[in-house]
Amino acid sequence: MTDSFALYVHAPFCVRKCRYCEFASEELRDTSQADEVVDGILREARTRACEEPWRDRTLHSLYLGGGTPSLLLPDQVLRLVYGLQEVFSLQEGAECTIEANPGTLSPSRLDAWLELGLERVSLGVQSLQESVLHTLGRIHTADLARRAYQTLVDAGFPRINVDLIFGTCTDKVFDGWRDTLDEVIRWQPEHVSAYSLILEKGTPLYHDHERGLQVKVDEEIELQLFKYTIEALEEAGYLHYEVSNWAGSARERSRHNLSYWDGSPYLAIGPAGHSFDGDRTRWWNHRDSQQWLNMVQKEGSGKAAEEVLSPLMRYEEIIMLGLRMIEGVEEVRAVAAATDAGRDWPPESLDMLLERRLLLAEGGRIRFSREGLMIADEVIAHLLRDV
Amino acid sequence: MPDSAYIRNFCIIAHIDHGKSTLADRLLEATAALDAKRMREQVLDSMDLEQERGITIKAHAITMDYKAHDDSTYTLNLVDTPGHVDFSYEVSRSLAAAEGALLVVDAAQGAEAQTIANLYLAVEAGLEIIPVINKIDLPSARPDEVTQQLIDLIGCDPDEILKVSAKTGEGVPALLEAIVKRVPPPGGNLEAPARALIFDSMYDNYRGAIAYVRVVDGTLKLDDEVFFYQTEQRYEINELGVLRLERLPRKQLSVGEVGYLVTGCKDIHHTRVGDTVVAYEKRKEVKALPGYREPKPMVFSGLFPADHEDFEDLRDALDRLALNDASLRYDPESSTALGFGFRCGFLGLLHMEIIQERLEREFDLNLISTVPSVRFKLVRMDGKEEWLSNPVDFPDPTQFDHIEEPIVRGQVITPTEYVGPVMQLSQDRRGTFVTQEYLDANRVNIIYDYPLAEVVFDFYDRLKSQTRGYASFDYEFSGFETSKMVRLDILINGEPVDALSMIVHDDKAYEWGRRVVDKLKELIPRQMFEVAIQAAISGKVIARSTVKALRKNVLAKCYGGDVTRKRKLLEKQKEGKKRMKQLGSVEVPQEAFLAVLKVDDQ
Repeated sequence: MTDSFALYVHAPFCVRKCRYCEFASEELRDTSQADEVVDGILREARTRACEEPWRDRTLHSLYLGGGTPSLLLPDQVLRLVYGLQEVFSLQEGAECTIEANPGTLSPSRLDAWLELGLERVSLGVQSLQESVLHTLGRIHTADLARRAYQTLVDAGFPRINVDLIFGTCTDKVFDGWRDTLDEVIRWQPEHVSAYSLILEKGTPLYHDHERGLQVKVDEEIELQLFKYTIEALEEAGYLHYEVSNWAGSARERSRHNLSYWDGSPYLAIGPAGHSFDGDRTRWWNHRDSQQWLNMVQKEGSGKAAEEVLSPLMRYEEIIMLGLRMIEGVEEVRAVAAATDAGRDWPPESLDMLLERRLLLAEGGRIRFSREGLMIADEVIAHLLRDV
Repeated sequence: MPDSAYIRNFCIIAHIDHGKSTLADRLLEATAALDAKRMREQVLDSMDLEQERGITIKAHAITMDYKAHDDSTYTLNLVDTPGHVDFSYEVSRSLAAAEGALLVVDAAQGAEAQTIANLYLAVEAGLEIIPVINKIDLPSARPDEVTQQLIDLIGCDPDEILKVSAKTGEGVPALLEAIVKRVPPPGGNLEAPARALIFDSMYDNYRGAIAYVRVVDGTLKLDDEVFFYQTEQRYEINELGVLRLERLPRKQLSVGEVGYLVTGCKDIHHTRVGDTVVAYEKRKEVKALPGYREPKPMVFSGLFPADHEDFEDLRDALDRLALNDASLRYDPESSTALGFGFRCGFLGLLHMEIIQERLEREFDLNLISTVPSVRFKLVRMDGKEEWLSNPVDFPDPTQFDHIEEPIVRGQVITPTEYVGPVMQLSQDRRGTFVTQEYLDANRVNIIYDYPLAEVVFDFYDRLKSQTRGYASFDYEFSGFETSKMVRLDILINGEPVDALSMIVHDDKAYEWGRRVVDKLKELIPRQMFEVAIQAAISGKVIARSTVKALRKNVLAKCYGGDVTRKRKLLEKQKEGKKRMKQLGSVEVPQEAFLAVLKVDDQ
């Protein structure tokens, strides 16, 4: 895989920013703003395509994320993807995803996506409970989300992901989530991502919370919701392959997302994008889209800063990211990373974590038990405590 | 050689904040011992920590020349006294080096317990007392009331009381005259064999142990062979002199003079406060000066480096501090929970806090200290006595006959309206009422006998909070009494944690057990599994609490490819863990080991 990589493209605009969201995105003013962004992305892509390690490598996945890339007009998205294909070479059967907001679909857009081979759509449903959609500040209703999904199916998209968020406070938290999840399962999407709501500093929702409003359920309920999610999706035949991600089958796993966890290289273009060369360097673009655009127009690159990882940091990453995969991290990989970092494998606390069955060691891999997964961050911090 | 008729040795007795240091500065200024260039606020308190806490920890002395109204020039020696109950022995030795004492009382606040305790010491030592009301410039000053208080206290005439403002300098000239007129010149016999009292000592990196002395009889000369009576050490005087702002070498020190001695002595434990320096040749003929006491630690606590790799650094730091602090004791100790550290003995709780703070500040050590304990007398079946100050050494109840605990006589001075709360607190602390007397219409002096163990914890803080800060407190050791003491053990997930054990009175064991497990429950964060906290006596559990397991702690969110952010979150979490002590598989915050000191009453 080292001769291929994942490409992420960030569309930094939305119809309206959701109340929980802290990603780099702003309200789209007019079509010319999107044109400028597309120009910028293509300019930056041309720069990167000449650089190591991307030069002479192929793409195994392309991901248009945001923001709301589904806001791009058909000709804009055509120009964008054709432009990218001019400078990067897409592998046969590469995974091409576009994120879509249910409130932004139109037949002409869907046609354009299909024409471009964007055959995987990640639909931001989040909830089918009106009160939750309201709290989250989504621009669509539950019904619109249902219709959007059906439209995608009818249009013939072979791979659809449904994005969901649980843990928002409402009058019927548990029933509401069960209804949402059960209905989504009946749709039989190829992929489900279910995240628990996180209150990010600076968001309106966080502000509500600071003011004493209860916007997020307490830990115990969150735990029950998470457990129910795991059980319901498992029962429906979904493969739980990462903390928050489920696939209809092994081949439906998101190749793109996997590259974030398995240490392979990925390149991000657009504001706030984070890239990794697959070796020792991580770097990121300016978060502010205007600043990013100015930089790109001037220098062809919107890069803000980079960090070079020490062997020790890589070791920590491999454990931290690898364990988020349900199948866990290969022990030989952990040993190699530890050795590189001049550390002994295993860490002192591994035995205790295995003994308490928070972690399991099977088939040459270390992975979380169901109980361990619930407190994954704590277990990982414990495991790496003295590293 | 100054004629001893023109020498005046005096000290200042004052409560913290009543202006002793400022007054000392004024005296130095007025006698030109301190020129403008060198004028620094409160020269006598030279350690940072002292200045911060407003407490003079180590007594020093300074010599001034004063031209009096009779046109004679007098040598005034100000012998400083430490201002805290932990150092009352040092105070008594400083007093023994003087003939007079300025009793300095704040014009707004009146006399406090510490002042009165030290005043009694001074009267006992036969010192001439010059009552001084300071801070008369304060708007809240009530000099008439305080005057009456002083009259009641020492039975003086109103016109014997001087009124000064150390801040403005008002009344300072009159005070200097009073020192010359009222403090008697030193006695002693110039012709007798030399005898000098060590009232303080300090360690100098270049000169070794330097003894501060008051010559009681005869003359000490350069190159004399001297003998330190109690420690039976023989040294030659390499240098001696008087104490100005710096040490000023002289050829000799004669009867009545105050100064310093540099000998070949490198060990401050040989220049003990209260010891007598005599001419080596005459050591068999002369008697030691009375009042010497071995430095006796009263409070013991384990000090452990938070990072076990710092053990040697801690040893070095203690060695360094002990160079200058003969009362600090420390012996290596090992704890199952905390690894290698030191069992340290202190004069009192303040001394303990000061040492800990200096270790952390000056030596940059991160320390974990265990619950302080007093020193008990353990009497075995066969009547043999042993000291017991470490809960770890507490034997099985079948292995001893009884235990005796140290008792102190405590004195609380409080406004009358707080008598009730003070008595309630004293009862709670197993105090035995002795007597009470009214100092004036508004203030009572209440005497109780307390077990020292009940006083060393947070007694003073409690007293302050129940009397809105008005009560003051002092105590002195009075003896041992048989007491039913037990060892309270704390178990975490079934494992006893030796560093959390403590020796408590049987009557209070349940209460302590309950409070400690509750406090620990508060301090120990939720972790991957349930943590059971138990308090037990002789294996019998008397209280328990549980820290529930962490239920969910996973950021079920992907920040796209922003792994840096995730790693930073991990680093933060790991940092938090580093501040914890790992006991088995349980993470316990460092402050938990002192939790009992902070258990909130009621």
